[in-house]
Amino acid sequence: MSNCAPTTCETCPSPHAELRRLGSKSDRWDHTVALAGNPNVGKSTVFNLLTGLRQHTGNWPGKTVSRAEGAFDLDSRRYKIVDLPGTYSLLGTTPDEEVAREFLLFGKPDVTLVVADATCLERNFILLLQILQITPRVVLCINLLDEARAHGIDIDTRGLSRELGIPVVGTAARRGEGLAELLSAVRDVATGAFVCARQAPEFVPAALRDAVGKLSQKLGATYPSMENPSWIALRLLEGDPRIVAALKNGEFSSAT
Amino acid sequence: MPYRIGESNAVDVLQVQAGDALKHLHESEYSKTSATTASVAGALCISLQRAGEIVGELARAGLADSHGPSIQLTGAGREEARHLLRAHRLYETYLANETGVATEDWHRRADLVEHTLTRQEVDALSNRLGRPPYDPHGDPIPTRDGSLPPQRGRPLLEMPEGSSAEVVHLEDEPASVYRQAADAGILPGARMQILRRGADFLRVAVEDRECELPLVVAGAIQVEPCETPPAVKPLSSLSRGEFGRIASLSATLVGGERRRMLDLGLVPGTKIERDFDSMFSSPTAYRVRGAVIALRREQAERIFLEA
Amino acid sequence: MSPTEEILLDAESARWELGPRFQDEVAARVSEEASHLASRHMHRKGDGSRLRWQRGLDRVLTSRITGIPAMASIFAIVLWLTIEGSNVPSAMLAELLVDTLHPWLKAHALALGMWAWLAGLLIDGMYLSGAWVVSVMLPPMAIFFPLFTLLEDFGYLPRVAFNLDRLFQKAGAHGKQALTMTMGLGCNAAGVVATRIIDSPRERLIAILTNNFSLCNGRWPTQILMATVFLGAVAPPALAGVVAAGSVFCVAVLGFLFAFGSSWLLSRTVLKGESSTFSLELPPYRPPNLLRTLHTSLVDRTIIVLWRAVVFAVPAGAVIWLSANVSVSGHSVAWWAIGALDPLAWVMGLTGVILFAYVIAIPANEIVVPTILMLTVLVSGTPVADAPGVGVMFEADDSTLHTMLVSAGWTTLTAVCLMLFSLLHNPCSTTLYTIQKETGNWRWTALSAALPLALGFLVCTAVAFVWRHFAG
Repeated sequence: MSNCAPTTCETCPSPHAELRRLGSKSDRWDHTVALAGNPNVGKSTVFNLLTGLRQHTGNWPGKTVSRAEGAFDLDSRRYKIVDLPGTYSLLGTTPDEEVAREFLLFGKPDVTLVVADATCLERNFILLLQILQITPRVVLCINLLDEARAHGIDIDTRGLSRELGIPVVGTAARRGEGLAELLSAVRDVATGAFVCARQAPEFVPAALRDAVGKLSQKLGATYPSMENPSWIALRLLEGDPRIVAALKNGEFSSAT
Repeated sequence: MPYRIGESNAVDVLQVQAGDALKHLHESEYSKTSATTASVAGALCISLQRAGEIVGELARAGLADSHGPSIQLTGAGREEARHLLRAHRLYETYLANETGVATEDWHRRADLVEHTLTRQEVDALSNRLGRPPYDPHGDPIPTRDGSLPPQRGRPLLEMPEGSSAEVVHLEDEPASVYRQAADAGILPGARMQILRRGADFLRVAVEDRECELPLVVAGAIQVEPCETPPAVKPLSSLSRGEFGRIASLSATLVGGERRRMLDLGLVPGTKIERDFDSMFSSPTAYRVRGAVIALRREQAERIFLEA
Repeated sequence: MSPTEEILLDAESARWELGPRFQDEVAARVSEEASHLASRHMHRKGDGSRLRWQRGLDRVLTSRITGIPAMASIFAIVLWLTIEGSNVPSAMLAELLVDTLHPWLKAHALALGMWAWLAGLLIDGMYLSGAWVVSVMLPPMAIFFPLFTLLEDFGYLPRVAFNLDRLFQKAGAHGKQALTMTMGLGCNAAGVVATRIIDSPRERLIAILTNNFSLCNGRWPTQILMATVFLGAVAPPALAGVVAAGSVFCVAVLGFLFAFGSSWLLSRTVLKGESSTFSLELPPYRPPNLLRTLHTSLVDRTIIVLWRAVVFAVPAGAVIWLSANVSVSGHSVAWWAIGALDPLAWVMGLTGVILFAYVIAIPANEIVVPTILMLTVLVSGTPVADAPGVGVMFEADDSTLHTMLVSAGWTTLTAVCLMLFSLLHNPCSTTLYTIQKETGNWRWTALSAALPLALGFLVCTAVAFVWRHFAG
């Protein structure tokens, strides 16, 4: 699916009749899409491609600092898309990581679009796996396929999709390649046409399984709508100020 | 930063000394040794007579009891001591996580502040830090209701020659002893092998080097036996174009710095190649997990490879 | 007890089972799984010639022998293109906005029956200062920022940070500060925003507080003018150009030295307690997309920075005009202020006019020179053929200028001290505003103004003292 013909550039009218780029006009929307990924993987380029905005993209980790928002219409549904700052992880304490973690946990995105650098998948998957612990509704976009091809790297997106249980799309966002597949994957997950089958991966050390299990059971019982009780339990054991505050403020119980 | 303000508050000397005496009594109880007026005087660096007065005051306040020469905490005394310990360790965690105050200054600053924080302030600080379980030295922080896990480990000096041990606790007082141990890379989490015991020193192998610890320093270290750590060499010893496999991160990499290394995928088992140096020879670019990461020399010296 | 509090307490009592190294274990498991995933679904074929080519380029650009010449020539070319390339469009803009449009506006406003004072305030004051800022700032920024962005998109800038990190580390700073300082040569406000790439709080603050020591392009005109009119004039005619260019270059280098010195000082004093980490990833080189780069760097950087500068310069124009035209006890406000500042200015080797110009031209360094000229005419009453009127900023040719300034009491010392003070004074209000926004802290903002100001006072005073001691 990655080698279909490149067709669009962001300055040309889109060939996908159903896509309407709406720039930053996002006053009301049907679905929220979070855009996450390592620094410098072309996240902003994907964002620009989807929204028609021209956020500056540089070959330099840490360009996008605060989060940017944009919107697009697809099949008469409106999507708000939030470009999170690029981070290596969701567990650190830098402002960037806090912004990203905050939105993924409490912004309740309908779809999280994780952008990965095709030339550096091994590192990029660390963040992907961390995000899959928080939410199953993920679309993996393997970007910079053109660079990867130049490096002689071949990626089996179907195999990845089967193993991860989520849609995996290869793109070269700078050339507009793969946009159609990306859009349909986002739409399918947002509308529930594709149900992500990924079991939340468990990275709990053996010695802690009991404690985490008990705690997450309690969490699940108290907050039935909580998606990721075992991840929250782990964070509580480790000591995460934001999670403690969220429990105290009842942010999990008010969730729908 | 509201918690810094406390430091400048004038603190009653008597109150501080009484508090320090309580902490000493607690430490003795926790490590199952007995406390006496003499040990109080020694721990606080005050005269025997002054120590006697303080113990008397504690007893009058219902915080301590003496049975013959040995002094014990009462329930109320234990509660007060753990409050002080909680305040102290939380404040050290705050300094470590949210400021760049030098490691050797944490203890001194926390000592000044612990007496000025009310229980509500300590609870607020705990919530703000996410109710952390351990302080930056790896010591458990008492919970709000004063619970503490049983003391782990045993004195390093009890370990036989040739055995291996992991550091679980390091006394942070006196500061000079703490610094000597820390400079040798001996912090909680570090693994060492005990090589030889001399008349006034202990020779140990820590990570990629050997050092001789004065007995007073070795006496401040609590350990747990572990498997013999594999031989390692620092990442900085790789030559250009050479590969290695990460064995461990030094115990001196703590807080945000350690977190960032882990997030970049610099975890045990990872293959890493020294790619090229910058024009002043530090930092150096390493190729790891398909990315090129620049590390300063001081960082590369604290990442260890399988030898 | 609420169920939430119960859960929190449960978590607290269960947590002792976690070792202090628990994070390491989780991270190791996640990384291992990531490696497996990648190795199962990613295959490398081909000879990796692209990788070899990139590595070769890295060796050249970061080696001790070739790295420095490469870096120096790349930045020299960028600066040369900026300075040379902006001369012509700057002159054209000035011709259009200042020489043509300004008299036309003024004449028509008066012809339409606008009150003279209102026309003066709006057109001589506000319009003209805005026009100055646009004509001086727009061309160099429209050249500098896209060039800088091209280097950025290609992936060269992280290599510069990599190369110079050792030097910055010695000053307690981060290698990426090299980039924010270079950016500061274009505009300090842009340089301050660019410090976002530094993710360690302490190093970022250092970079913010010292960015002002990069001589921004609003200050280049002051430097070039003083160097040409006074320093070049002292040298033999054949060397005049070299001496002038050399002295401006020296001031810029002096700025970098001050940046290093104050970084060192800050990291060991007020910023000692801020936390610090180092990390730097070197991304692969990627071919930049020329058109998009031009577009985004114009929109992102040039227009935004220019807009902020204009917004601050326009009210300043009004203040300048008013200070020259509102009289108190028979003299203009400016006259009184200049008189009051004269003694302090003498100590610093400057004149009251210069100090007052710096006070009212806080909004933008670009308008300092025209303001000084306007005030000089106002105070000394020197008749100058093309001086357009009281409270109106203008420029004149070099020899007229020399005569006029010398008759107003300027010496070579004044010129040297002005060059130093132009380097070492508070950031313009646009930059101060940006610093406040980026740090969210008035204390740091105040420090960023006080530090260079104090240095400027000390350095100018010392130079004036030594100069007078030996000269007279």
